[in-house]
This record gives sequence, C-alpha cells and structure tokens, in this order.
Amino acid sequence: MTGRYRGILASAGTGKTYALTTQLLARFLAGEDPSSIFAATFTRTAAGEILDRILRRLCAAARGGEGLADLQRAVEREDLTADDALAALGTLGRSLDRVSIWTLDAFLVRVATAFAVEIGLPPGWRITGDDEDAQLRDAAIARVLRDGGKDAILPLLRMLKKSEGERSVRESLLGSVNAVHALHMACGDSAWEHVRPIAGLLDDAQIAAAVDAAQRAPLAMTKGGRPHARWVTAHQKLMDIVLRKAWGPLAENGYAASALAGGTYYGLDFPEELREVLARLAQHGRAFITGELVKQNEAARQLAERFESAYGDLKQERGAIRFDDLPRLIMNEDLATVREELYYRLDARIRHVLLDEFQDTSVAQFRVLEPMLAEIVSDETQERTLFYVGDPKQSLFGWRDAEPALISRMGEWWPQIQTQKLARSYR
Amino acid sequence: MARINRVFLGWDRPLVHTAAEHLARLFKVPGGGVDCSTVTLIAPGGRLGRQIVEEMARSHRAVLGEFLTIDRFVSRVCHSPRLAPDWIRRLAWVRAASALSTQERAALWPAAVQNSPVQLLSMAQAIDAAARRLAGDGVSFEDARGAVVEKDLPDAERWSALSLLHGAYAGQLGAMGFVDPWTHRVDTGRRASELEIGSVVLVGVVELPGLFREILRRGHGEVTTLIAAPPGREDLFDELGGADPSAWQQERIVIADAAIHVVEGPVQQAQAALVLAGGDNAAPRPDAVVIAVPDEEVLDAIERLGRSLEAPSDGRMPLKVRSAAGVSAVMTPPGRLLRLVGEFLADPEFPAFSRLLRHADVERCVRRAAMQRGDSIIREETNLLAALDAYGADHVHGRIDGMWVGGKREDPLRTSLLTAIYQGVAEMLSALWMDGRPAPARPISAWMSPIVALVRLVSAGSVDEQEVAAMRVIDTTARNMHEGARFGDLEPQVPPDAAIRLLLGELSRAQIPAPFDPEAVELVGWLEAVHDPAETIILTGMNEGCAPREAPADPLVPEALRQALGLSTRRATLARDLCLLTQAVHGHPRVEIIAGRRRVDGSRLWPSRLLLAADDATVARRIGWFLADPIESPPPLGDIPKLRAQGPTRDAFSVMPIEPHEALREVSVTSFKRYMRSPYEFYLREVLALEDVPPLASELEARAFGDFLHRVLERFAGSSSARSSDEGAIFGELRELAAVEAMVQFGHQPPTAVAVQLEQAMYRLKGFARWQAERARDGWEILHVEWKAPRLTLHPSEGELRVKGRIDRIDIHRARGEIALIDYKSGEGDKSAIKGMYRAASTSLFGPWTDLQLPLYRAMASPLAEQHRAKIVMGYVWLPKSGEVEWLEGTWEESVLDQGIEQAEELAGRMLRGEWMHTGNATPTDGPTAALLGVSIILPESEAEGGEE
Repeated sequence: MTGRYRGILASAGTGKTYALTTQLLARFLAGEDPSSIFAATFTRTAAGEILDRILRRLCAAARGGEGLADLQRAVEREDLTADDALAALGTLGRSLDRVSIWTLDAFLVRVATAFAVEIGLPPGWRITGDDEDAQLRDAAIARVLRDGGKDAILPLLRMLKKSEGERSVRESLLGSVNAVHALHMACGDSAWEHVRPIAGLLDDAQIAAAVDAAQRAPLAMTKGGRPHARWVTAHQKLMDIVLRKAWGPLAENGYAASALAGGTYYGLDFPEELREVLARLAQHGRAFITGELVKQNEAARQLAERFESAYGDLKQERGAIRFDDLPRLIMNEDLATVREELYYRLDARIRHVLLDEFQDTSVAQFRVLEPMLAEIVSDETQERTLFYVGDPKQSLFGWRDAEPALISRMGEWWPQIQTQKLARSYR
Repeated sequence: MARINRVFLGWDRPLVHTAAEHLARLFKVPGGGVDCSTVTLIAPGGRLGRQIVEEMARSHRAVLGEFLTIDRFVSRVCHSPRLAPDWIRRLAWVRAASALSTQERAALWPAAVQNSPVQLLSMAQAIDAAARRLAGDGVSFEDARGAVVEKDLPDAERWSALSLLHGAYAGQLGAMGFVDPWTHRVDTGRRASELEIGSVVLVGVVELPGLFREILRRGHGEVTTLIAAPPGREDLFDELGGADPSAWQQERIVIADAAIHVVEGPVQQAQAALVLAGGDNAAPRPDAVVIAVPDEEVLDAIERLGRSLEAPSDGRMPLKVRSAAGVSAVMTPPGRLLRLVGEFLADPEFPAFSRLLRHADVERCVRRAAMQRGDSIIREETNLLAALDAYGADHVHGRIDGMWVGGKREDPLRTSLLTAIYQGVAEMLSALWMDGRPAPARPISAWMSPIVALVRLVSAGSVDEQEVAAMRVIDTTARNMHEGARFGDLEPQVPPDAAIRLLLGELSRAQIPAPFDPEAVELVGWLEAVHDPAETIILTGMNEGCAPREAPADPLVPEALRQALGLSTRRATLARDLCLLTQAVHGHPRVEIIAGRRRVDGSRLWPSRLLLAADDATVARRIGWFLADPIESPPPLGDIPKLRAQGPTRDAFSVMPIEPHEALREVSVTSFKRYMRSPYEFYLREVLALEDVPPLASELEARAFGDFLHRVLERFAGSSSARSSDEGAIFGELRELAAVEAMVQFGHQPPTAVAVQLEQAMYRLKGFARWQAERARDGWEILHVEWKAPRLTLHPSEGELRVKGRIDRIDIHRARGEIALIDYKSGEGDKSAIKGMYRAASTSLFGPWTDLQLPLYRAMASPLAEQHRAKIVMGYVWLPKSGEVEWLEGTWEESVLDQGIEQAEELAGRMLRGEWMHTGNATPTDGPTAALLGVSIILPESEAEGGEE
C-alpha cells in the first residue's frame, strides 16, 4: 500500500515502528528536506529509538548485502544502491539539526514558544514538574480557603467524607480538588448542570398533611379482610422514615416507589387514596435528594472555578506551565487560521507528518494537530503525506487523557486515508 | 573607508603565539623594541585577548595600546554620556506601553501581564534584549517592521506595535535627558563613514556582527585582521576574516579517529576528560591542558568528580579543576540569602522560616542580634535549629507572626528561645517585615536600601573572596535599580518579596568567578578553548545541540526574518564553529574530543555536526560509534580516575542486637498490645526508649487529631453543659472549647489541611453532642475524665510488673447501679476493633486477647466500682468522620475477662525474661521501626527464592 495518507492499526510486535521508520527513510532517500518532515511520538526514549533505527538501517544498507536488500524491499526501490544509502546517511548526518523527530509534548512546547504572547503565557515561562505542580495546587487550595472561608471548606468536607483509604488530609484534599477541577476543565459548566431540580418538593405543613393522610388511608387487605402483614410492616417503616425526615432512604424505599410508579406491592394494588399520598411523599423524597445533588454540584462548580482561578494565577505568577496546559492554551488561538504564521515562527514548512503510538494522543493534543492534518489531507499538490501507526488496545497514557478511539475514527473523518491492519507478530 | 589588511598566520601553531609574533614584527620600531601603544586589539573573547597581551609582554616586552572584545569596541565607538542605564530603560519600556492602545499592547504581551509589574518588567527586559540583538546588526525595530511589510511576512501587526512602542519609549527617555543605547548604536552605524577608528587589529575574529562589520568597513582608520589559516585558504574567509558560510559548508575537516572518544553518559565524559588530562590523578604542568565543556551536565560531572579525586600515592599534587565561568551571583551565599528571604516574605509560614534559619549567616546574625539586645536566652551552646525542629515536630504551625502555639503545655523556655529567634529575624529583615507581616508595597527603588542593608548585616565579617565579590555585585545592581526613583510616582509599586525577585532576576546574569588557582586545569567554554595555547585541548560535549549550541527559537525574529534583514543565520554559526574546530585541530599538538551517547535522564545524544563534516564513509563510521552495542570507544580509555573513599562502608544490613538492660518494673496498659504486635518494636521503644523523629508536619496525623478531640472532650466534662441533655447547648459548648483549643494549638492562621481537619473535627463533635444528649437523657452522668487508675501489679513467676493506665472517661448510672469505662476512638477502622480484641479460636502464641486494654481497665477500676456499689460495663465511644457517633460495648463473660488478666501475667513474664526477638502478631510494615527490622529491605527466604510462585 503506497497511498499518501496512511494509517496502520496493529498490535504489539507486528512492526509498527519498523513501518514508521521505513516511511521516514523513504522520504529521506527521496531527498526531502529533513525540516519538512515532522515525526512525533510520546517519550524521548521512543524519539531517540526512531532516529537510532533510521541511522542503523542506513548504515546496514551502506554496507550492502542483506541490509541493502532489506531497505530496497522496505522502500520499494530496487534501484537503491549502497552508495545511495551512504550518501543519504552523510546528508542526514550533516543535517541532524533539522531532523524533527520529537515527542508530541516537545512539538507543543515549540508551538507554545512561538505563540507565547497570543496564548497568554507569562514571560520566562517554563514547563514545571509534578512536585512543583503539587505545591502550586496546595497553595491554590490555601488561597481558595483563605478567600472563601467556610463556604469553600464545606464542599471539600463533603468530598473528603466520600474519599476512602488512609491517605493524609492533604492528599485527600488534593485528590478531591484535582478530580473536580479535571472534570470542570474537560466539560466546563455542563458537568455540573447535568442534574436538574425536579418538581414535587413539599413544605413542612404539606408533609404533615401527607403523613396524616397516609396514616388514615386504608392498606391493601388479604382475602380474609385483614390488612396484609407485609403491607403493615412496609407502611410502618415508611412512616418512620418520613417522620425522621430521612429523605435519602425515602427516595430509595421500594414500597413508596411502587406507589409512585403505579405498580403493585406483593401482588396487590394500592388503594387509590393511599397511592396518591404515597406518590406525593415518594416524589418529595426524590425532589429533595435531587435538590441536594444540584446544590452539591453547584458548590463543586464554584469550588472548581475558584480553584482554577487561584491555580491559574499562581501558575501565571511563577511562569510554571504543565505540559497538559499547552493544548488547551494553544486551542484558544485558532491555529487553523494562522498556519502560515505557525510555519514562519517554527522556521519549518511541515509537508510530511508521521505519528507514532497514535492511540496515546489525547483529544486536546489532537485538536492542536487537527488543522495541520486537515491541511495535509486536503492538499492539492499531491506532494504532502500523512502516516500514523498505533494500537487502540495498547494505550499507555490513560493517565494523561489518551483517547484510543481517535485512531479508529481517523478513516471516518478523512475517507482519503487508507487504513491497514497488521496481524503478524514478529516477537 | 578603512584600509583593510588580511594576514594569514597559518594554523599549525597556537594563534596566541603567531599573533604576538606578527604584532611584534608589525610594530617594531627602528633601534629595537616594539611600540603597540596606538593599537586597539580586538578578540572574540576576553581570554584570548588577555593571553595575547600577556604573550606580548612576556616574549616581546611590548604593551598593547588597548585590548577590547567586539562588544566593548562597539560600546566605545557608540559611546554617549547620556546613555540610559539598564534599569531606567526597563522602566521606560513599561511606561511607554501606556501610550499604546489595548489592541496594540495585546500584540506584545498577554493581557494578564498588564496587571503584574514584575511580569511587565520581565517583558520589558525581553523587548530590550531584542532591541539590543537587532542593534548589534545595525537594525532598528522600524527597519524590521519595514522588512516584514516589504517581504509580506506574518507578524506585521506585532512589528507595528513594537515600532510604536519604541517611539514612545524613546520619548520617555528623551524627556528624562537620556538616549537609548541601541538606537544610538544603529544611528552610529549609519554614520560610520564619519567615525575615526584608528589602528585596529582583529585576532581570531571569525564571526562579525553587522554593526561591527559596518564600523570597520566604513570608519576611518586601518584594520588588520589576523587569521589563523594558511595562505592559500583565502576562499574560506571574507574581507574582514569572517568565516564564509558557503565555503565552510563544503569544507571537510580531517580529524583522526583516535582523537575522538565516544562514551556513554556525562559521568563517563567527565571520567574520560580527567583521565586524558591527568592520567594518574596527578596535576599536569600548569597551562599544559585546558578542558572545553559546552554541556552543563558534563560541567557538573567534572566538577563533582574533580572534588573527589584521590591524591597520587607518590606525593605529587593531585589533579584539580576550576571553572573559569564561575558561579551565578544568585548561587553565592548572599544570593541564596536573598532567595530564602524572598520565599519567606512571599509565604511567611513555618517551613519557609525554618529554611531561612538554615542559612548559616542568618543563624550567626540572629545570635549577634541577641547578644546586642542583651538577650541571654541564646547562648553559644544553644542549638537554635534543633529547638526549631523540635517545635516543628511537636506542633503544626502555620503563619509566622511572632506568636508560638502550644499554650501552657508548651515548654516556656523553648517559647522564649523561639521568641528570641523571631525577634532576631524580624530585626534582620527590618523594613521588609513590619508588625508581624511583610511590609506593604512600595516603589521598587525604595526597597533597594533595606535589601542591601539586609545583605550587609547578614554577611558582615565575611572574608570569602567569592562572597565579597557577590556582595559588591548586589550593591551595584541595587544602586542601578535605585535609579528607578527618577520616575517618581510612575515607578511601579511592589511588595518586598517581588522587589527581591526582581533583584535576583538582575543578579542571575552576573557571574562571580571562582578564586584563581594557578595549579588547576581550567574548564572553559568551547569557543574559548580553541585558541588557548595549552599543548592539550580536551573538547568534551561534542554532541549535536551543544556544539554548535542549539539556539533557542526566537519567535520575534525567526530565521526567515533574519534572512530578510541580512542578519547572521544558523549557517553562519555552523561556519564559525567548523572554522574554530579546524583551527583547534591544526593549532595544537594534542586535541582530544569526547562525545556522549546519552544525557543524564537517559535520552539519546548524537554526534555534533562538526564531527560529521567529513566524507560519507567517515560520517557512516562515526555514526556507527553512537549505535554500537556494546559501546566501542576508540581507543580504550584505560582506568577511570581513582576516587577518595566516601567514608566507612558497611558490608550488610544488620538488625540492632539486644543489649543487656535492666528488668522492666512498670508498663502501661497499651504496652501489652504493642508487645503482642512486635516484641522487638516493644524493645526498641519501651526498653531503649527510642522515638521516631517526626517530619515537619503540615497537618495532624491520626494520633494528634485524636489528641485534639480528647482535649476538647476532657474540657467539656468540666463545663456547665456536661450534665445537659440539650444537643444544641452541648454542641455550642464543644464548639467554643474546640475554638480555644485550636487557637492554643495552631494559632490564628493554621495551615490549610489543619483548617479542614478542624472542620472535620466539628462534624464529629456535632455527632458527639447528639450522642451525649441522648446519654444524659438516659440517666448517665460523667463521673471522671482522664482518670488516673491505681497501679495494678501483675505477679508472674519471674517477679512483679506494675501496670499504669489512664481511662478517658468513666460514667455512672446511679439508678441502674452501673459504671461505664469509656475509651474514645476516632479511627475509621476502630468500629470493629472491639470485636477483634478477643478471638476464642486464636492460634497466637500470646493467647486469645489481642488487646488487653479493657480487661486491665476493668481490673484497675474494680475498687471504684466497689466504692459506688456498681457493676462495670465498658466499651468505646466511636467518633467517626461521618459524625454517626456510637457506643460500642464490650460484652464478655467474667471468665473471659479473667482470662485476659492471666494472659497479661503471662506476657509480663515474657517481658521480665526479656523475650524480644519474636516477630509478633503484626510486625510494622512501614516507618523507622519497620526499617530497623529490615521489613521491605530483607525479604523472607520464602519470597527471596521462587517468591513469584
């Protein structure tokens, strides 16, 4: 398969990296300017490994024999000679500074550096590590608590009550706030607006009236004309719940739920008068709990916003930026409209893109790449290429929001991409 | 137009010698002697210039008229008495920004920067640096804007804004009687034909910035450029001796493979450099060797290795190294002091205070201050840091304000000591710290005097050469920043920590040289090493990115704009470095080149393109060295340098042996549980009385949290609400008691985690109030709290062992004739603890009881029960974080409880016999005891062999 836009989906050991280095070799051997080729992977080790393989294969081919034959087959060039490989190696060696085999993070750092002003990065910004980030988050929580007082502490306490294990309060605080913050950054307000208040909330007088009515209402009778024993027990339990104002258990009570749903209890229908009053009480329980959830979500939203504000200020003050901040910041600037400027500031006109371990790309990272990929696959000069490899089942960067589904959907978004599955393992 | 004369001196000898000889010939005067008094010598770096001056004086008894670097020459030519100093320019850029519209400013810096004086000044510095770089090539912002428009390059908006900003900035300076030095340089370049430059000699200058070139070409005078290349290689150089990028791109450099050493990481590079420099750890002859170190990681490794070298056994001097670059001023003791003070002022909490005291000069200063005050609490033998650390371990202290927590329970002597330390620090900080907090914002210039006074006070009496030099630099820099006062009300106002940060930013560009050591091998930058007259030059870090140094991307002036403006490009840098390497290889008897294959973090390194400026076969061979597995280092390097021993070494981990000791006489109720968990831990803690050294706490660990609740509940028992059955009144009382206790223990502003923990405690106390009200309604009264039980004596056959204990609370129900022995529990797992105290089917060596607390309490409280003619019930009041407080009663039969006492007697016998080496029921798995026991260090045999199965 020799299309200009290709994707390979394959399991471990099937030769994905070999395929990627072959593509890179083909371009170098064709005399492409190294700075026009951009290959991305996920770790510095992997980036080093790709260049290592390219140089190794060229060295082997330059010695002739099987190394040359292997390269001829791989790049589908029977006319390739050992001297050609040697010359390509010499040229590549003398232009090592222009070879762009980077991690995706390194690419994003370059883009961010080029557009630091536009995306709002503070002067002298730098990528910070986990330790400093944890300190910044601690300090941000302290600011939120200092400025927000008890209003800020209460939602935190609610979250801490749910957290388990023997972690320290600091770790629990950090973990809870991080979770809320991550959700907020990923979904915005929609995360907190998913649960809406429902109707049916009763005031104290209405509850008292409903209890009174429920206590007076007839229960279902046995054939013998006596109240059904299970009904009596369930009814007493429900009244106890209502009198204790235990709205959580009320919302989960099966007896009341059946009445609300118009169902039966132990095979017997609810007398209409009873059904009506129990339904009212059951609906109140649900409305109350839902209302609590709404309040809780609102508190969490406010906490996430306050935290983001304090954390963002601290990062700005110290110029401490996380790798994960970059895609979001870059996306605030619409790179689709400034591609010329991007190439100008990067000192490189990227014509060929090769992506390794594509399954580890996050949605945010993909959004940064997307305009460039779209430009390549829409190219009318027939000279630009896109190549990616990955294994949706082998994503290792879940902790950094990798989205393996992206690789599977590339073909849907851009039908001109030819996708191929490699099955044979060489391990 | 200057007369330009190119002289090719050859490259087979060091340039220092050939240039000096040439100058001696050139300026020989009739009748003997050399007169160079009218000559201005220009070299690319200070080191080469100084060496030529020395060589002229030593070998030719001639004194050069003047020696300058390129930048100093340009500065001199473009001098004006009205040039604006650095800090004034910085402030002028910031002020000029107010003349721009919001949209224009948005093209220059992010909106958020506008609100931060510190960041605005940082942006101003970046813009000033860009103006300086461009001016070096004779280009102004307006020129750049014109080129961008003319070539239709992106960024026109930004350059328009910069051009406008520059106009407003020049106006600001003009209004104050100043001239912008960069504009002045560009203007001077434009009228270069009017300049008198006299007799100028360039030595080894292969890279000429545009403005310098313009002045030399068009000024009036005579320019002689001495080139380290043989006649016949004129093709490689331009008219002024600059390396021609096109010519050098085609040049192939011949380096013997034997001179190139490819090793693994920075440490191996350092080892190789030292072996090649000294061989057997002995110092080489002075000036015989110079080591070029373009890679920071390698520099660090060489310096560390250099400090650890063992002296040769034959009495010769050991090899020493000295970094010619020195250290950044911020890394010197006064620089570190400023950083620590800045951190404390930014976040005046206990950890930052403790770090500040760790600066040796600060501790001395605090002692001096105490002496001057006549405060005798700090004596010579008083260990201030130990007292501070002990306090930090005992308390969770938040913000520092001169008040110390702990109340009456705190050792008054220690409180006095801490107060004296605080006073010393507060006096030291003087105007930066007022009324227990950082002083309010002031104009930047107003902070400079107090900051300098602080540094002088703390560093007073220092005789260290580097420290004194650093203080001088701080003094000068602060004086320059004080010039900002000229802006009057327009000067930005910042808090003291920000002023210190700004000063540190300025200081970060100042290097303080290490004291000169004539016996040390110099570590220099690679461009400086090339023309050093040493016989051996060792070039380390010959990797891509280090040589040539990878220039950081310049988003303002990218390569395309540089080309459009005709400025120096990456090709020119490569040409310069190729030229210099060629000159180095030819000019020295021995050149050793070292390259690494990996960085410290393990990522790959590749050969410098300077080593690959060769024919294709050579390129392939050298790349092969970076791919070989295992490494083939051509040639073998021999032994690595011998290092000094790092102190005594231990062959293996050994568990602390049991030492003879006195028999125990008394233990506490809780000791039995500890013994059953791990007799060895019991031995460490209760026989040897070893304690953990707790880390500086930022929150309450479980025990401290429990103690807090205990104290509040203890005080509650003595309050008027203790007999109340009103839940609200009880909680009100508890809330007040908790607030007072929190104030005593943690002060006004506890750390964040503690603030949250206090709120968590309130949940539990609220639950307790509910439970207590119910209990009071049920007829229970509090009889005792923290009741010190009478000693119980156990009589095993080995002798007697007394048991002491304190019961959290004892309640009485007079109507039922019962007393309840109560222990408060706040751990989440404690709910099931009571069930786990006794296991009838237990196979433990020690018996069915895992915790003898309640049986022992029962025995101890028997006289009290008899006194009240009451039956004993006992259990835990569980205070979980959910607030659902519960009474968990232990309901064992009398015989089972009696069995507990028998088990206690049996355990007492073991303790008296000194049985400590049993692993116990629950050996600690973490913490110091676990480490002492070898847990996680030594694997049990079963896991060590075939453990995976």
